[in-house]
Amino acid sequence: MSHDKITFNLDGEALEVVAGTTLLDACRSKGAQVPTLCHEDRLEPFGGCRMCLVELDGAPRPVPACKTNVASGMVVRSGSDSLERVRGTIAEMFMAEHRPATGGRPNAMDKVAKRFNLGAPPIQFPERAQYHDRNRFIGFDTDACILCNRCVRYCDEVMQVTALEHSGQGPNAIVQPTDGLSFLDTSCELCGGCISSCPTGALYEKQSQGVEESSCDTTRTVCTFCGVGCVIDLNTKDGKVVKVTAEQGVGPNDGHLCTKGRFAWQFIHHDDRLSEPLVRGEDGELHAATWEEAYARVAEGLTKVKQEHGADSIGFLASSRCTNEDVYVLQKLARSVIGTNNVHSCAAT
Amino acid sequence: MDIQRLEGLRGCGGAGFPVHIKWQAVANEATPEGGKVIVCNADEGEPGTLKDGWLLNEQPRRVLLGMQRAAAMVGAVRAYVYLRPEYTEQLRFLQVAINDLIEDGFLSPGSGAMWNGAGFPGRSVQRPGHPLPPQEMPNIAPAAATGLPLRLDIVLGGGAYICGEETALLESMEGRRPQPRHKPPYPTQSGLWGLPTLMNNVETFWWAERILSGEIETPGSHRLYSLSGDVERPGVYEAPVGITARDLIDHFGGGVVNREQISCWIPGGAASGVLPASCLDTPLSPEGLKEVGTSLGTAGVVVYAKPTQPVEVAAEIMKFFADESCSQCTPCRLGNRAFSDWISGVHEWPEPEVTERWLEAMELGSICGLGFTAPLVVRQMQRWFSEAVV
Amino acid sequence: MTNSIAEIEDADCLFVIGSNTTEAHPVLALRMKKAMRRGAKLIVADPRRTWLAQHADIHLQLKPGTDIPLVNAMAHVILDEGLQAQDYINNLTENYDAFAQAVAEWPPERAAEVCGVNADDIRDAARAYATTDRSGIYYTLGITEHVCGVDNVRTLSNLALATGHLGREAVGVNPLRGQNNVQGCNDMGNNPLYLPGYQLVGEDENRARFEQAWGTPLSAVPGLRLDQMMDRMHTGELRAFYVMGEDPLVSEPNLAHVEEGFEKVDFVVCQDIFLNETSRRYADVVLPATCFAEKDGTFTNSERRVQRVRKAVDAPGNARPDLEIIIEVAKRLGAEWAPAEPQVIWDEVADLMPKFYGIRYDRIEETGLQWPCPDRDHPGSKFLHEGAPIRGKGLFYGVDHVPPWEEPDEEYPFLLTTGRTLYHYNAATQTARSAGLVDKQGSNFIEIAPADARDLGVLDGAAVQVESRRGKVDALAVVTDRLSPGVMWMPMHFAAARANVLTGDGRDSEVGTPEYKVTAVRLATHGH
Repeated sequence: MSHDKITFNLDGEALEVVAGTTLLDACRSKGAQVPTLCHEDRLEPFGGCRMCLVELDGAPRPVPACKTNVASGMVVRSGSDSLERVRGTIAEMFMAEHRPATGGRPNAMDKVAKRFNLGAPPIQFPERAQYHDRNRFIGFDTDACILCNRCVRYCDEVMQVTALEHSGQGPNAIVQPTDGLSFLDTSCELCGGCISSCPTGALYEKQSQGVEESSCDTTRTVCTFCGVGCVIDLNTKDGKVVKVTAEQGVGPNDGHLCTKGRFAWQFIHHDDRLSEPLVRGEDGELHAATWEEAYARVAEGLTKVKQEHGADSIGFLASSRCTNEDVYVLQKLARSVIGTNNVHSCAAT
Repeated sequence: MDIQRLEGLRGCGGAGFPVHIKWQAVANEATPEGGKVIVCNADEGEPGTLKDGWLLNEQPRRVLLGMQRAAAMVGAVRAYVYLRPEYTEQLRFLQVAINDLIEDGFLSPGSGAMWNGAGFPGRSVQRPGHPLPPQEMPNIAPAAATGLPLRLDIVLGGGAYICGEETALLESMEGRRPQPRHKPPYPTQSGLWGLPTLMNNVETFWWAERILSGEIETPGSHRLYSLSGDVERPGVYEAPVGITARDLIDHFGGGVVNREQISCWIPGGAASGVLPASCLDTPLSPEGLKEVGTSLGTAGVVVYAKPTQPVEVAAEIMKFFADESCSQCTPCRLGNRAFSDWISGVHEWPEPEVTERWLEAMELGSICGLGFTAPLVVRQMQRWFSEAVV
Repeated sequence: MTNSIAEIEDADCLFVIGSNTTEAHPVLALRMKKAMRRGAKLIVADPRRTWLAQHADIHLQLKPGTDIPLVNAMAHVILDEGLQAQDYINNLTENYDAFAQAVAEWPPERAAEVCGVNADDIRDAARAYATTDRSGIYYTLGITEHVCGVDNVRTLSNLALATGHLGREAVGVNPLRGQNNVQGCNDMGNNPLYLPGYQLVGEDENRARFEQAWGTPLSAVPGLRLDQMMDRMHTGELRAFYVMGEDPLVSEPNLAHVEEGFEKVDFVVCQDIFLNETSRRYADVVLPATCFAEKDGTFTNSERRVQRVRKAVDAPGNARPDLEIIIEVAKRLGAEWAPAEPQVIWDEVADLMPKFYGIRYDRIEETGLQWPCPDRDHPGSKFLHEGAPIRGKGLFYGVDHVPPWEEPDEEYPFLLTTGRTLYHYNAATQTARSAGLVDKQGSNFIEIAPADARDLGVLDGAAVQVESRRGKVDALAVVTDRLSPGVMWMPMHFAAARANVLTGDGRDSEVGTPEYKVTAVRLATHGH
């Protein structure tokens, strides 16, 4: 990879960047406010929304900053009146088809509308057909979609399963799962990455429908569904987990999640969760007990076996699902209190 | 250099780019592994244009020979005709011509293979089973390396207007959704499968063949005009650049049907917009048409007799553009749709300030020619038929 | 992993063996996909045509249990064609001769026969791995869950040493950890031979350090491995069992044998968030614990990164954090320990484990740190073995083929191998409670090669019974060309059809890891 520096002129100032830098990144590094909708840092540049147009000397018309690499000697203007007018008009075009999703999901169009001070659009196109799908994870509010293709590109470039498509053309153009099938019947792996890449909330977590994202608390922690250690944010409301999200640029996962990490959190509040200690009675059945009763029974049972058969007749099995602190004290219990090295976990990989 | 003999000839596909510059650009490119590529754009989709189909029926050999000359001059080893899928008759003539040229030693044996380009709805990634790029086809050695003549195959088009846009055409050939690419890089630098690619229109190759074979002395002096609409003898006519529409209609087309009065006319395909009868004496040349706000385009002249209203014609064109937008970029996708609704009366026109801004956003913000030339249709209406578009 | 997860996307050659990464480690696989999109070469050795195998430059579809011949043959090609890193071998390794002799026995043609792959593919794979500067090896349970699991790993280590593919960014040997804290669980000394931080319990000096810190004498007698514990239940030598967050009655091999053992145990404590097979049937006491969302602490991921776990919600009812439970149990047994504060416990851990000394809660608030991290200014270790192998000289092993514990025969003619799917996790106690996942994959299935299905008269979707010498389970047939004839595959997730009813007693002779990956089975269609 080349790390050669090249110089170009941005808004009247000379700027030095590494060769291969896009105009968008260069503009951002200098603090220039170039709006974007179809751009996402994890995806390859697309250049479809046209919000990031900048003026480039010698080019017949403005160029998309996301899709244009800086070349030595370029002269670029990132925020002329004419550019702002064109960007504002394109934003106005979006508003002619975009109907904000209900349910309190963040919507990049709000920010755009504010920046360009948009009122009612001069024309309103008819609603799209809604997308009904029996899968329980991914919902799609078609009228909020602005065809930025971020979901499609995420599926193509990151997941590489190509389960979403930008289909049709003109007024009939839509984004949909392959051939308009259910998400369950395509090559979709239900990772929900499309949701994380959607700027308007058109794609959403069905399980979290109606939960105002801004009203949630988030707690940063680590997913437990494999050894990768994805950093996740548990979104909670009224003491319950209601959604799992991940922030780009954070952790080994860089904002990506799999289907289990994003969606399989119901077990946390499942009715089957153990909520009371259980002690096996004379009848051979397990019965609810107090913690004191349970602790006493554990101490009694272990002490008895240790006295009768020695410390090495007791075995401990630690869980690879628990925290370091949990399993550290378990082996400490085995070694320093019981006095045995009989402690193992599900066999080492 | 032979390429210089083409000076004066401009591309006949609509944009009118000087042919010798394009050929020279490809000739100047280094030959990569996989070789350079020639593509003949035979996806004639511009409303009012029929000359390419006519040529492929009448003189396919000359078109192919034009491609063969181009290949020799720019150093290409393989060539493709991207054919409008409705041109089934032309396909047969093309195949016959290809077989003849194989026999005559101009094309390599095996030429004439055929596959389907992608169209809509389309996938953003290549469909499984689609042909691989030649770099990845080890069994087909580049023709130049084997000393064989040009390998020339046929790709059936994806059946959409945008497939005629050169970079959308390349995407279609590669098996993806036909969405235009961002330029630069231009196809001459990085075209089909990233190889340097010379793409010209059917008519352009035909003229190039006639020029390079010495038949024609003054390149660019004539065009093939497609004449259609309310004329007695619609057809394709070779006539000088600079002929007036009135002469074309009267001398070649036999006048207007039933000697009706002309309501309006189109000079160079739908994208060149609608002109009033008062402009019929304008020379059909780049310079002459510039005077009246438009261009020669594909030289597809369409005549509308009264009582057809100019606004009906314009509305039809805008609906066509709105429907045919590939929907990749916002200004083209939504701008055309809005103007189609406004001009046809589905929605009321907004304030002129809004109209102007939306036209500007389409002109400056679109990715390809469909988006940034469509406003011309509206602007021409504003200029010549202002009462109809307020 | 010797490397970091983020480095994977910079690799130019990925040798993935015994890992269905896109299903078992889907997010890590995204880094592989990114590398592939960049043009990295991909070599996949797997009995199944997994997603990665389908997209690989070379897919070595080997017979399960033949990894050593395959990798030895790759090494054979490397030495034969002079592709080895001679300087690295000369200066930074030992026992080369034993390795060279062992692989000399395995020319590609011989391995090809044993493994059921093409000899030229072995050659191409060896060349690609050896001649690409940034080559990395990635493996999972497909390598380790064999009678020769340790030897399998050694052959891979040989390969890396012979080519000097170790100790650089994106270059190394990378086992991908299956569970969120397998790494940490081992690090913390949940091992019969090691005190926390991989300090051998048999060495006086190590014990002394812990005896002083914990204030009690410690036993020098090595403990029992899990598989040994299972055996000692039968013999009456193991009388009490404390099970934390595990379900041996689903996860251990040869379940009939495990059940018999549990019948004989005097006292069983289960500490878990759900009632499971083991606790339902055998626990004397069940202690309701908290799940990850309900507690504070740390996990250590596959790349040795210690990351913070934080409490987001309260535990249900009277459930309590594991930490508190164990400390309370210790208290009832007479030990007075520090309060159940995760940070206090972690400081104790870090003080006792030199490689972790620099990792403290205040340093991992934002981003976790990768051990070794010996002092408080240390930035953590992105990759291991930089400059030279940690032990000074990389140790070659001469390894020869070890056949599986059980091989198909006339009575049980098919080779069954097991694994994970994308949509479930382990015993599925958590994922089976997600209706959305059950929609996608709701019940047990067995993948069967089309030729076998045709011979057996099994249609796609048919209900079949899979039987080994130890038991039988039901499954729906999935007829797929992902497998070669003679090999079948079944997931291990479904409580209603526990794959481990079938698996046998084969274990790695050194560490006791069960051979989940090879079982001889036969198939019956229902109604016969």
